[in-house]
Amino acid sequence: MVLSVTEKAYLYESLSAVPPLRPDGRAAHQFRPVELFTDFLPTSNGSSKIVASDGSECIVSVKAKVVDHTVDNEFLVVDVDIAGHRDDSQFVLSIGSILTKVLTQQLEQRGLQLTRKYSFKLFIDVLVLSSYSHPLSLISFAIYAALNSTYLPKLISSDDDLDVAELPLFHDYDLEKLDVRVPLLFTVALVGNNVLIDPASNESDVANNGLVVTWSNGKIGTPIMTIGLNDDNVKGFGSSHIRTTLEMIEKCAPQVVKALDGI
Amino acid sequence: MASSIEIHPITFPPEVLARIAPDLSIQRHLSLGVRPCLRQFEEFRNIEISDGGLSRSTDLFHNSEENNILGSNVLRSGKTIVITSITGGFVEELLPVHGIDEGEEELRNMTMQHDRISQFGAVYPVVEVERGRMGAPTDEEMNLSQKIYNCILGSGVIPKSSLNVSVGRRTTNPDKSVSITYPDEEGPELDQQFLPKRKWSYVLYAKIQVFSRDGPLFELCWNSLIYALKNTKLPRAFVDEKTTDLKIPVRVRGRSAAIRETYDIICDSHKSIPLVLNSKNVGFASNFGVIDLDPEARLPEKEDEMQVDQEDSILLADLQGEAEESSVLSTLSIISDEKGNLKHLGIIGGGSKVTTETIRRSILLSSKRSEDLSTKN
Amino acid sequence: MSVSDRRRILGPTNARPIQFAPLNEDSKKIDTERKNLNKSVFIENGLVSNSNGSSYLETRDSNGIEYPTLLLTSVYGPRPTRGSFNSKASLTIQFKEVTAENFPTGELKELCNFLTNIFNAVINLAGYPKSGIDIFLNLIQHEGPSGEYSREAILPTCINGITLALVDAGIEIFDMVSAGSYNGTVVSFTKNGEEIVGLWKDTGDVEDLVETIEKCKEQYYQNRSTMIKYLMQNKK
Repeated sequence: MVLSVTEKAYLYESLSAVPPLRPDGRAAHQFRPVELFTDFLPTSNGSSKIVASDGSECIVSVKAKVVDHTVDNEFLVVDVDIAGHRDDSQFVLSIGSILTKVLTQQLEQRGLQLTRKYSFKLFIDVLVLSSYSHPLSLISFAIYAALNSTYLPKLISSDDDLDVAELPLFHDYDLEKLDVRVPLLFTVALVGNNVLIDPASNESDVANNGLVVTWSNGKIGTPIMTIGLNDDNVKGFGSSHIRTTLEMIEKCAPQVVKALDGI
Repeated sequence: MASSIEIHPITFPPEVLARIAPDLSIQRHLSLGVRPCLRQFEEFRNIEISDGGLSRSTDLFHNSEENNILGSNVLRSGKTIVITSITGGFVEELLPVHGIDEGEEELRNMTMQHDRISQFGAVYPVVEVERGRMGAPTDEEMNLSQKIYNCILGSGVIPKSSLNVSVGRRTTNPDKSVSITYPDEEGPELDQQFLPKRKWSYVLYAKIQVFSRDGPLFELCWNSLIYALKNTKLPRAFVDEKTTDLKIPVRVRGRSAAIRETYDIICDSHKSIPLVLNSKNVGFASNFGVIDLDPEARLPEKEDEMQVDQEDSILLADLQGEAEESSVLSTLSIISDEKGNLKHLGIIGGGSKVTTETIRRSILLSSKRSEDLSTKN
Repeated sequence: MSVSDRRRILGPTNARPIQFAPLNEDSKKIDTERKNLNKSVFIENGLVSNSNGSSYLETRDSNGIEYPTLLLTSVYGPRPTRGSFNSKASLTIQFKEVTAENFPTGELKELCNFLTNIFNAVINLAGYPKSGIDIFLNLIQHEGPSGEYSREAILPTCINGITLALVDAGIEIFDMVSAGSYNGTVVSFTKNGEEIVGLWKDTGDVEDLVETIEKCKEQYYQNRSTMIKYLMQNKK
């Protein structure tokens, strides 16, 4: 929905009040409710679907392939498709690039290694069916759920194939759960002196700036970077904003992880 | 009721006139004996060149493994900047598995002799002209790339033999030290048995980026490319001894076939050889325009001035600027060496009369220009 | 990639790129030390004559001449945009590698997105309704510290380059924006270091973030004063 100049001014004032008055009545550190389904795509190794309260919807599928990692050392491919945006647009490509970066940095390739020559390569396909606010955080939740519900075929052949050239053999129906620690991405909006987590679309429209913060292995990780939530209200911010953001994420993130793990 | 309308003549500063009436502007200038860029009719722009320190052979990089630019040139002519960088690749020549027997070899050579083009190597250029827009290449960029490709191939600047890779061999000595030997360095002692039985050749790519476009570009791009090719150094390449002649049987759709593993040919980070050009085929490009003088566009002369007889068409060298490009429609594009040996000649009639005299004159000028450009380095 | 590009001359399809053998380990070691050294800069404005404004930056390590980063930035606009009415100018930033291509497209788009966000905050977009401002970054040469290509190493140069090109084009900006980098973190400031407009941290520890920002600020002051000095010397 496009807001008028007056509506924006009103929203901006109320969001920068102390404490902030968010249009949906949330507190600054409160997320919107999400619905999450996992393991519903029969043809992929792991899948998830997330629906946010504003109707944003995202599907993630994880597929695996056996590759020779001495030839192909890329163990992860993230493909992002967002409805309403061209595949080669700056927006889609940069979301893909951030996700690839964070996942390759934080996931361990060792967890995917099968033998001394072969390992699994993961193909993570992200499809955003509809999105009203910046979808990065939603996608990251969906990837988290999908990877944590991924089951890969169980290896039954020997794991040392350096001397004997043989292809890895798998059990016919036994699967093993993929054991990885998946990072989460949080977006916050900076409005006035306030920091608001999980900004809705109208909040994003008036935000002065946005930050992406990574949470991995129980602490704040990298990348941390500024991100544009809109085109015409962008302003600078102070280093106090960064401090508030990090404190807020440190407080909320464990609860989010707990909620996502409960599925 | 009729009122009289007074008409004031409007005057424009030269740069505004050049924009709104380029043909008038150029005619006025020419009638004064100069061109809009204030050069003489047959005067070329000066060209500044350098290798820009971009290629891996410059000292700055200590032959690092990351930089893959083999040759480069930065050419400035007036405001226009042309940056050319040459990169390379390998292509494996398809040879029958069991090698070529002599009779076949002879037959190949015979057919090769008749096909002139096949004796020369090509450069695959991509020209990009910055114009402040994104998107697919423009017609001009595509035309330039194609024309450069044709001219390089057609004029035979690069003999095919200089693109052949003389493949070295990396051996691991008993004491674990690694040494690389090249056939031409070792002389005949090197056991021919161990040399790979496969043939590779270099492929050269050129990326030509133009900034501040100001007039026709083919000649600038061509000259920049020639300078870049002159300082191109091809890295020496080798294969590991373990893989010199490896055959791995692979079963393809039920039929067993011997397929050689596509192992990597690796380049030496330290050693390189200069690209050998066919120096007698190297020429530099220059362009000319012919324009008819319009007697009506001349400034009214004072009564007492003597009427000077002027030729009705003028030869302009090295076209520059919007006015010249849009109103000079008859153009000549010449690639020649300093002795006047032509490598390329393109003439577009375009309205003005291009006489044999003009053509002769422009060929003479272009060979002089070429003489001047070939001394720069 | 089933459709081949028929607008460019691509060369033989079975060609493979040149691969270089890795160098000896010891020749690499010295380089990591250089990461945080001060840089010396060469600036020249107005090189691209058919743009509205342009800047050319050459950044080198101050102790040697190794690892230059050469960046040519050109600004086109404000020029009219087609289509619907916009009360503010729309800004686009494109990045292109002129010679060797070392970065994947996705990473470059992410970089452009980041830069666009910075300059959305800095350019007085409301002053140019119905217009578009297009910025083109042309990286002529870059080799990062220790011979690898990292976006952190070129980001400060990109930000400085765009600022200078905008000044050359006469486009209204609120402040001279510049950036500093420290250990792979790039922070872009305005208003004498009071405000942050861009923060880019890809790797490293988060614990000392505040300290890192201070380190970046020092470099920001240096970069900004260099640019201002250049502009004052060359004012018409």
